[in-house]
Amino acid sequence: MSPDALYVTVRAACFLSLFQACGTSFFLAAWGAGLPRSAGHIARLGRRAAAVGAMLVLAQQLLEAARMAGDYAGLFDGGLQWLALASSGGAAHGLQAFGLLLVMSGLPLPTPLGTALARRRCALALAGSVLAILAFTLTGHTSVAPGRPVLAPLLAVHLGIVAFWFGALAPLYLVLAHESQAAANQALRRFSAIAVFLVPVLPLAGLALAWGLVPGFAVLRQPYGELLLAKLVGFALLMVLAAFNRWRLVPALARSGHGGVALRRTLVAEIALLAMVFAVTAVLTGYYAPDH
Amino acid sequence: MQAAALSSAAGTDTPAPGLSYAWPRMFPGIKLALLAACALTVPLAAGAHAHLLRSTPAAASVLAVAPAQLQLDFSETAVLTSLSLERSGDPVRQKLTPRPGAPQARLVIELPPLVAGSYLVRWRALSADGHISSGSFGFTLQAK
Repeated sequence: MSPDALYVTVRAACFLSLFQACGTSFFLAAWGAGLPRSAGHIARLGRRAAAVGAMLVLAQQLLEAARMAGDYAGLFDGGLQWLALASSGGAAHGLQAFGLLLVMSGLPLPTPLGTALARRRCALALAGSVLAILAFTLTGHTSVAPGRPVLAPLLAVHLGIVAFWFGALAPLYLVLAHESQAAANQALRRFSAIAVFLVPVLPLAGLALAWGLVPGFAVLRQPYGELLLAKLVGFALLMVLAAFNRWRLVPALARSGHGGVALRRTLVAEIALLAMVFAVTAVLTGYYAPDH
Repeated sequence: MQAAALSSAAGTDTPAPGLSYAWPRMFPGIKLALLAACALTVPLAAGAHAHLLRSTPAAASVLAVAPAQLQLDFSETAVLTSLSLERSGDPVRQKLTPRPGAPQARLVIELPPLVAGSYLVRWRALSADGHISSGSFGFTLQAK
C-alpha cells in the first residue's frame, strides 16, 4: 500500500472516530441527564472514540512526511517531519489531538449526571469537541481561499452538524438497547425535533462551500466534481433513511412499542452510509483540489 | 420526568424541556467558541493547491542536447519535497530532492550528466493550504 493510500484510509477512520467523539459530547450535553441507564455506555463510547481519534490524528501527522517523500523512508526524515509539523496541517492535527484529549478527560462522567462536577466534565468535553471541529478550518482549501471569512465559518457549521448527526446515531442505538420505552421515546423525539432543523442546513452549507471553492461546472467532469456528486448521492440516500425513521419507525415505536429492532437496523445502515461518505470525503480532500 | 428526578436528587436546577441542564450553563463557553471561530476567519496564507504549469525540459519533449538544469513552474508557491529522475530500463530511480527550502513558484535544480534515453521526472510539493501535490512528466534525450 502506498503512503497516499494508507494516509487516505487513516484519514477516513479518523473522520469516523473524531465525529463520533464530538457528536457523543454534544449528545450527552443535550440529553444525557434524561438517560440514567445508557449515559455511562454512551460516555464510554465517546471516550474510546476520542482515544482512537487522537491516535489516528497522530498517525496522519506522521504519514504526512511519507507522502511528501513519496515513500515510507520519509517517516524517518527529520527535515520532512519538521516541515509537516510546521505546516497548516500540523497546526490542525495539533488542535484536533488537543481537542480529543479534552473529550477523553471530560467524558468519564460521574453519576448522577446533574452534579456540578458532571456539568464541568461535560463542558470540558464540549469545548474539546468545538476545538477539534474548528481545527479543520486551519488547513485545506478554505484556509487559503479568498472567501475565507465566509467559507471557514460555513465549514465549521457544516462539520458541527455532521458531528451532531453522525455522533448521535450510535448513542441512539445504545438508548434503544438500554433505556425504558418512555425514556427512549423521549430521547428520539427530542433528537428528531432538533435534527429536523439542523440536518437540512448541512447540504446548504455544503453547497455554499462548493459555490465558494469550485471555479465552475466544468469541475463536475473531473475527479473532484465526481467525488462531490458521490457525496451528494450518499447524502440523498441518508435523507431517505432519516425520513423513514422520523415519519414511520419513531412514531410506530411511540404508539405501539414495536419497531425498536427495525429502528436500530436503520441506525446501523445510516452509520454505514455516513462512513462511506467520510471515505469519499477523505479521498476528495486528501488527493484533489477544486481549482484544477 | 427522569431528568427532573435525577436533577432534584442531586440538588440542582430542573432541566429545561427539550434540552437538559448543560446548555444554559455553557453560554460563556459557547461565546468563547464563537470568538475563536471569528479569529479563524483570518486568511492564513495566500495561494492554494500548487500544480505544475510548465517545465523545462517540457513534458514529452525530445532533446538533442542533455539539459544541465530542470526548471519547474508551479501555479502557486510551494515547497518541493521530492524529486526523482528515472531512465527507462534502469532499475534505480535517481533522487534529486534538494532539502526543503522556502516556498517558491519557480524551482531550478541542477541535473547530473544524462545519457541518451527516455526519462520520467516525478515530483511532490507541499502547497500553502497544507496539501501535498504530486505529478510526473517525461522527456527523451536522443543519442548523438
